Parts: sequence; C-alpha cells; structure tokens
Amino acid sequence: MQNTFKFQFPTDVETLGVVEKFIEDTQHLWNISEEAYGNIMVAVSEAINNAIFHGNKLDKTKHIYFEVSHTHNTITFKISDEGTGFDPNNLPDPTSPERIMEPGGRGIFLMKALADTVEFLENGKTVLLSFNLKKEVFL
Amino acid sequence: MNIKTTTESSFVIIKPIGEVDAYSSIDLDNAVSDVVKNYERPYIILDGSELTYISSAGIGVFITYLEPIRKKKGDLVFANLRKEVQYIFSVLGLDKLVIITDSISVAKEKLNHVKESI
Repeated sequence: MQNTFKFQFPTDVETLGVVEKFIEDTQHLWNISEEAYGNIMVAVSEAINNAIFHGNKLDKTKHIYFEVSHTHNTITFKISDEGTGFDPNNLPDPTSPERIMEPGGRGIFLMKALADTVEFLENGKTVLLSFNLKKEVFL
Repeated sequence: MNIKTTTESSFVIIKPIGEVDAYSSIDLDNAVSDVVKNYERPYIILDGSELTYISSAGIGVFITYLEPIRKKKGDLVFANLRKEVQYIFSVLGLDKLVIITDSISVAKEKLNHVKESI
C-alpha cells in the first residue's frame, strides 16, 4: 500500500521547521530506523533550504510544493519550487581542494551522498529524493 | 536548538543541543563569532554529544571561522560527535581539515599540543 501526502508551503524560513517536524512524526508513524531518519532529515532539509533560498529566493509570493510517498520499502520526497531552475549536472565538487574552504555549496552534494536516489526534473526546479527503508546502513 | 558555551581554563566549549538547520545555524554563527572576537587565542572545543544533526549551513559556519581562528593561533577541535554527524563530516571531507576526537579530555590534549607548537 502506498501513502501519499501533499503540501504547499509559503517561502519562509519557518517552513524548514515545519518540514523537520513532519519528518520527525513520520519516523514514529512509519517506524523508520535512526540511521535512515538521519539521512532523510539532512537530505530533505537541504532540498527545502535550496527551494527557499536558491529557488524562490525568499520571494514570499512563491510557494514550495512538498510531496511524500511511502511504501513498505521506500520513502520518496518530491520538492518543487517556483524559481528559474539550474543545471544540477554542472556543480563543482565541494570536497575538492580549491572548494573545501568555501562556506557554501554543499547542499546538493549531501543530498546525493545521503539519499539512495536523487533525480532532478524541470530544469532543477523539482528534486526527487528516495530512501530505501529496508537496507542495512553502515556508518 | 540551544547552545551552551562554557569556559574551562583556556578552553571554550561550545555545545549545540538539538538540530543545526539553516535557520538555527545563525545562532551557531553568533556563538562561534563571539568567541573568535573576544579571545586573543581561541581554543574552541565543539562538544557534539547532543548535536543530533547538522545541515550544510551549519558546516559552513565552522568553515567560515576556521581560518580566522587559526590566524589567531587558536584552533577548533570536535569532540563526542554522534556517528551520523561524523558521517556528514567525512562525506564532506571535513575530517581532513579539523581534528575530531572521542572526548573533551582528548580534545584538550590536542589543543594543548597546538598551544605548545606556537
């Protein structure tokens, strides 16, 4: 059985707290392991953060669309903004020696490291983050 | 997220309690910035025992202040990081930039070595 929830949020930094609370609640609701929960929390927060700051550029007339689908084995988050998009395949590696001391530019790298699959759609305005809930996680 | 800042002899221990997301990273920034400004030699221990997760914005705070701290001949050492947070540090290659220890006492030893090397 698949459960799907859809939300529309304002472009506001407080949306981050609302989504974090939602993820906390889903951990208990769907019995998500601590390891998977940590990965989900960081990766999804990064996506919401990008939508607020980089996508919608804090424009309060724009919205963030947040969709969560849960099955027995996976949980998928779809996050969309109303910005102009970007090229997700053309981002510098934040771990390279010339970038490692930069204060920003790690969000998408973290999403790719923590989610099992990351897919960008609509010129980067939508990101799909999927997590396998049944695999063994070794940290 | 709350931040507890304490001093023990010449060390400043900053302990974030809870989650450092993009929003609360502003508080973390203020806490680290205050120490960097107010101490001639900032010897900072970041106690991660109650840091449940950190966003890239929170990581960015440490990166921002690492150079100013080291310019003042101080250093920033991490202690008691939870495995999830330590994993984030390692994914981002930060474990090669900073010292990460298992305890506050080892962090103090590491900072004492920094002091002695000046």
